[in-house]
Amino acid sequence: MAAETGTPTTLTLKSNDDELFSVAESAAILSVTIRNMVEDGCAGGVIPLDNVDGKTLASVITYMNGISAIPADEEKKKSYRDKFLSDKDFETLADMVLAANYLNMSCLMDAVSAKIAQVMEKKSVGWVRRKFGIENDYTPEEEAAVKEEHKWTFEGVETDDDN
Amino acid sequence: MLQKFDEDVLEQILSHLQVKDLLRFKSVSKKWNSIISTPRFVNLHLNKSMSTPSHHRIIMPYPKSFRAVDFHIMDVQDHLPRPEEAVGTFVGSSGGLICYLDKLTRRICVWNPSLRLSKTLDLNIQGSVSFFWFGRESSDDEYKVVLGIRSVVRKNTDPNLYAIRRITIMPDQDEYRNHIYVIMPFACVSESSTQLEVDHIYFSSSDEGTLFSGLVHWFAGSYRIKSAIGSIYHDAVFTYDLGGKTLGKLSTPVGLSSSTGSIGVIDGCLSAIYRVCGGDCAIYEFWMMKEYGVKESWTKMTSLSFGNCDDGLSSFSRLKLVGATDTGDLILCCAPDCQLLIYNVAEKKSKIVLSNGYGFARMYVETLVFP
Repeated sequence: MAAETGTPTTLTLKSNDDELFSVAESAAILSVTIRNMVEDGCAGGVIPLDNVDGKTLASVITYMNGISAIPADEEKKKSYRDKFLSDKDFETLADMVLAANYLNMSCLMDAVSAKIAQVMEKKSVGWVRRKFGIENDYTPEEEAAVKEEHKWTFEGVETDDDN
Repeated sequence: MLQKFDEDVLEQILSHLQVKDLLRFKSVSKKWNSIISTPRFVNLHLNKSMSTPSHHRIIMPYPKSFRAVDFHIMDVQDHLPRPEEAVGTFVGSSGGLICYLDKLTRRICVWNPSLRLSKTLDLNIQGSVSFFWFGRESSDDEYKVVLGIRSVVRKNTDPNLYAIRRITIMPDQDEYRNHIYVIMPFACVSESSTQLEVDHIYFSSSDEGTLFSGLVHWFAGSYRIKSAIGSIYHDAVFTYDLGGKTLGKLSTPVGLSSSTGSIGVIDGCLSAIYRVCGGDCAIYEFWMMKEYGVKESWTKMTSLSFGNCDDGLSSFSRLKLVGATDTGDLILCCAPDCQLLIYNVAEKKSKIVLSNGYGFARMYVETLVFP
């Protein structure tokens, strides 16, 4: 649908916990998922985003508004992304990466993935299992064998008691 | 409890990690182990590594180990144990793998410093290896070794005959695909369908070839014997087209000797660094071939001087381009002192990062590719 010049179109997004958000169409279409809905003409009323909760969606919209206010300057966009993600904890980043994936926002996806990877650096296997909610499906023998094969990678790992 | 990450999202996250972390996280679960081990992920990770400057390392050889310098902080980050087989002539570093040629045992060693794994191959060659290259080429993502082998059986008056041998390294397999010898005396090399007027070619440089737009480039000297007036010697850049498997020749800037030069790529142009004056104060000139293949487009970009005029640095005999930082500073390495330098082109200032290495420094990236 063609936006009329001079009148910024506003979209209403609905999170999976029924929160409603207004956002300028020009910012919202950073999400390819939303852009496709707009182009298909099914964005007339409320756009339901079934995989994103209100807290995460609020944050994503802050990002959409922030990044779309920056003119085409990749350096500035990058530093905005870095600053935007700098104070986010692991759980928030995890929600964000899933939202970015669902909304098909490749730049945000890449930045959040890199940030999560940065947090995972030097972390223990136990830390990763806890944070990612992974059950250890190795038998003790199998696990010992995998660890033995890559023994040197366990040097200099952070202690396991941090959160 | 976190929402379940599907495999695509997990791959995206893991592709940003360094190899040491990834190998450790194989112990997280069977699923993680299998994701990290798939060729698809290995490829995704390598592409991410190559396009992310913070994943690039500079590696500097020392007798027992290699020092890996972090690209951004320009400081030694890691000491990598050197495999016993990684000896002799450096053939190349590309796509996270490093290749050495041992001319005595006639074996090549392909080594992944991030995985700390290597393997060797017997070459079974006759003759001596005069020029060489190792790399991963984007057209087919295969790792190849190109060796120029000079025939030993010849009379003094015969032209030097070279055979080119291509070897494709097959990651994760014990077999190497050994390409058939392509015997190609340089005297018969054609350039734009006319014969090169060359009788003798000498590869004097011990440098590995430089890949640029699908062709490998080496410095070489050649001369054409003219019966009446003797012979005419000139320097040239010889090329080997990896796709078309053809040989060619490029002109070098007039009046400069390739014996003190080295080839590199700066700002997307084929470039050469020449030493133009020796003695106490060495001066190096940086030349760029602005338009590939056009002799007249060779342009002198900058020059750099070392010597007792400059913070007590000795005069280097050779200077080689290692790479460039994302801010455009050149990373250089000099012989014989083997110092690693960062050179700010605009301000003409250089800074020493490492000294007293045992060979030129090179770039490499982190990868899970099994050698």
